[in-house]
Amino acid sequence: MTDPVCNLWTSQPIAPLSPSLEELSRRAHRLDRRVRLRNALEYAGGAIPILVFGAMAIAPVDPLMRIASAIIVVGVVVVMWGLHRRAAASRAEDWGAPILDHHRAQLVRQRDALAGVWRWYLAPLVPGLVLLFASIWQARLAIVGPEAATLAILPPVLIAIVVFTGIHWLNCATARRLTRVIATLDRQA
Amino acid sequence: MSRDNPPPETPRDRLYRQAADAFGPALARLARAVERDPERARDLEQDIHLALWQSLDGFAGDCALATWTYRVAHNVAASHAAKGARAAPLVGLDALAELAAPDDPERAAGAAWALDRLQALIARLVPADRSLILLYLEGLDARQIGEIVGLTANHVGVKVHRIKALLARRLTPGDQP
Repeated sequence: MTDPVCNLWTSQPIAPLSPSLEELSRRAHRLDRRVRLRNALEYAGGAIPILVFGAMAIAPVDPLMRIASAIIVVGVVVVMWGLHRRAAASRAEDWGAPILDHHRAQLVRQRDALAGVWRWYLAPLVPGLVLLFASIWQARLAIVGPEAATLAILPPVLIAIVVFTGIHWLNCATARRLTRVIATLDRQA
Repeated sequence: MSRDNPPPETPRDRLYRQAADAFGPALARLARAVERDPERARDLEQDIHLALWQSLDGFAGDCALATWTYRVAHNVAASHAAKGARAAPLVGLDALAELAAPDDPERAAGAAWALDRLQALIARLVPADRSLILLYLEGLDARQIGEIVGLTANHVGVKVHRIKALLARRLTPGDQP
């Protein structure tokens, strides 16, 4: 080694760790526990709408409301399954891959998840929500008439459209940025 | 066998010991280069050791143990860096060479200044270039770096040439703008 900067780098005062196999094993168990806890919290978050809409699906309410609730439950289950699949894929890292390949694979995985947010995260909830709004509109229709019922349902419908479109747009914008980063990596390789 | 006896060492454990003994200091330097906060750097170093130990189950001997160790370490470090907040946007080697450097002539003569400056330069680089410069600083040749990073030796050679020019310009007192 002739470059003095390399000598400077390798001779810097440093005390490397030397963890025992028992320490590594304990750390691995701690990490596993943390991942399990995080997953449990995510599933608990999904369980709340499943329980609420599940109860509504079997409650003695308007049939359209019950169908909407059941479809929302199915939609939430599909979303949770998508989250579970993606979390499992991100845990199966190929740490021994060449650095650029690993970096590219991570970017592609993130890009694909973001670009597909409409398909796996938003779309499964749309049919249930549409039916839910329809059932609320129908219930109001009988009491206040078509105009007032439409005016009452319009704000939540618009909010839902803005939120869903916003989530989709933001994720697509990030996915496009990642596509540009991937293209730059490919040009450099 | 008593309950207090540790489990017998597996081939993975032996490979890990071999790698940790040979490359432990390089892993510590990598962690310190990627994470400036000392406590977080120790945490990252532990994560690198853990990932290395776990990854060795998949080590089939297709590459040298050194190559595998550096790949795992740099991939874990890059993932760690990607999760952390960054004070300044990351740049490539060419862009970094053009950035103006703060002048500090009083400290310019010291090795500590040079090391500090070097770490600040490395912290500004995008992950691939950061790995390249760190592997060069560890004394690896272009072929070894190419295997670890996933570039041809020629491509690495060109990049290393730029790294040398950059380091000479930015770490030699009096030579910088």
